[in-house]
Amino acid sequence: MRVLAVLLPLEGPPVRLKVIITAAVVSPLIFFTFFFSLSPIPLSSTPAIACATAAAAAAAAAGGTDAPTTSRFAKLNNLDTELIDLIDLHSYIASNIINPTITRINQPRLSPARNALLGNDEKNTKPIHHFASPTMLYDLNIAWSPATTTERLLQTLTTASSLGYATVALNHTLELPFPANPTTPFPSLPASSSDSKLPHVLHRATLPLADPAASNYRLPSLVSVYDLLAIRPLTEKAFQNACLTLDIPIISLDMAQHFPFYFRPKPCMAAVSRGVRFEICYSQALAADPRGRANFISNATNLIRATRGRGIIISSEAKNAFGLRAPADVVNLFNVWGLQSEKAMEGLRTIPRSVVVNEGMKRDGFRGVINIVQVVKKNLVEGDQTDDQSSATDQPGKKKNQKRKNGGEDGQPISRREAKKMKLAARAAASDKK
Amino acid sequence: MVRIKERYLLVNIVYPPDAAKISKARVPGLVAQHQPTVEKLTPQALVRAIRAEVSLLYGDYGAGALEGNLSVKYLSLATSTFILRCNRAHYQLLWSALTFMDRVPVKDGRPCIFRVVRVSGTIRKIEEVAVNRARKLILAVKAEASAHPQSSLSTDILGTKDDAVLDVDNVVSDEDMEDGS
Repeated sequence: MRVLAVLLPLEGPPVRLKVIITAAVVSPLIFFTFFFSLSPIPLSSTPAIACATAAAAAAAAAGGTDAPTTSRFAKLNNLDTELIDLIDLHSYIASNIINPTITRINQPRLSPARNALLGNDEKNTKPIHHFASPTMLYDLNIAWSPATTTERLLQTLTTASSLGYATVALNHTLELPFPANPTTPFPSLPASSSDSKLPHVLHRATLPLADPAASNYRLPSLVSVYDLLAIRPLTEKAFQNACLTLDIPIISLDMAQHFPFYFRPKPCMAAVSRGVRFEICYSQALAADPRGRANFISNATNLIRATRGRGIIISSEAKNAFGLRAPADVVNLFNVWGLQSEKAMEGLRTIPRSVVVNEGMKRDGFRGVINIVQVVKKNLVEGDQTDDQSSATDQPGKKKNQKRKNGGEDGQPISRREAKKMKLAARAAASDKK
Repeated sequence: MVRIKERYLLVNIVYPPDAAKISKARVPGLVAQHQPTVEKLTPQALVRAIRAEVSLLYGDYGAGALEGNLSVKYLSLATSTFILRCNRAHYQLLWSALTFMDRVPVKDGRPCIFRVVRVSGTIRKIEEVAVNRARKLILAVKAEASAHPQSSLSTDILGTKDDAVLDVDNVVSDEDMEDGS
């Protein structure tokens, strides 16, 4: 469930804010506009809203899975808002469209907790590239353990970059009794130079899960340390639990082993519609022995069948650079295994992107729903409009034409939309006469 | 009589650069990636290795499917590039076998990645692509060498290349239509 929101000021900041929530319901963006007054809100002390009131901001928002976001919206309702329409957010996850005009101006942000861990202040934060282009390629699983040397890691990363992957996630597989105060174990990487270009690196943790009953995994404590979380279920019950209840974005499976159960469509589809994505790591097949390869193909085809190819993330889980493959090769490989090439392409591009953006929003945004993208001042918006007009009048031919059309009744040039509306009205009138 | 439909695969052998060696030798990453194949790789050895991989993955069926119509049309060790020809019906099988190969198929061959760069229905087109790629690579390396700190040109070129690769299916369908007419 995700929403894009733009906050624009009408008058002075403390009085009223106009909020436009943009939700991509199908492909076109539909705009919902509603107002809320900020004065009675007890939450104005929280940093996000304080920021909004202080600077009057444009914000983009995205939530996570269905359940938590509806509850978040309940909270927003408490804020004395008039929600005109609760948007069909669910379909948004399917379409995964973010308005490019908004996303382009996104400002870099990292979670404050991670900044503190990295010893960064706000100014030094790296830009989050995920908003840049939906055609970017992702590899959300590059195996990493404390034993991995920096050299080998660099080799893997440069190879990933040269194969076309723009964003990768280093995956740390945790052992279960993990420390109470987890810290980021990843080494700091050198900035990408001309002779070794590095992709954008995210940090991810994968939890192997065998016992479904244990709920005290302290997932929230991991959230602040890692950019992404994933679950690796080992038993059928754990798999069911991960599909149906756990609040994690990715289910990753070790497919080279034999599972004593098969993937039934019902829990799998429930997971997909809940917003949980399945991850298939092709490097497991490349490295496996013949038996493991057979298992992998069987598991992969079963999972593809159970989910009908929806909600599948393709990543490598490469332990070194030789476990990586070029995206086109991967797409062909999955095509052989029964995943259509468009869906395989989605599994490298839009689906991992949606996960990354969602998770980023959960960590940075106000209550995981609203994120400030850029601060827009009121007069700046007006300035844009005047700019538009002047640019329209700049073209001499156009100006002449419009003058003739309007007959000089008023100096204002007619907008395209208005012209169309008038045309339609005229046509309707004509047909009525007939 | 209908002419036999074929697919040509342009394949690059990619050597992931060793980070330590690069910084020591001051070789740009791009060059290290596309280094020449120093092993004495012959077309026969290549075909044999591919056949072995296909029959490992697909068994007798795979071996039979590629029997008699798999051949190496071009092999350049200097640019680590080769062109394969196979039956149109079974090119995916060949491609996936290449994906599973992980070292140069000679004795004590180095580990590498076989990267299919282009799939086409005519050898003319694939030759054009190969020539273009080689030219762009040279330009990119030159640009990198001349303007060392800011070599945005090279990355741009590589980026467009990747896009072209990902449109493989479109290319294939285009060629299909060409074949049909």
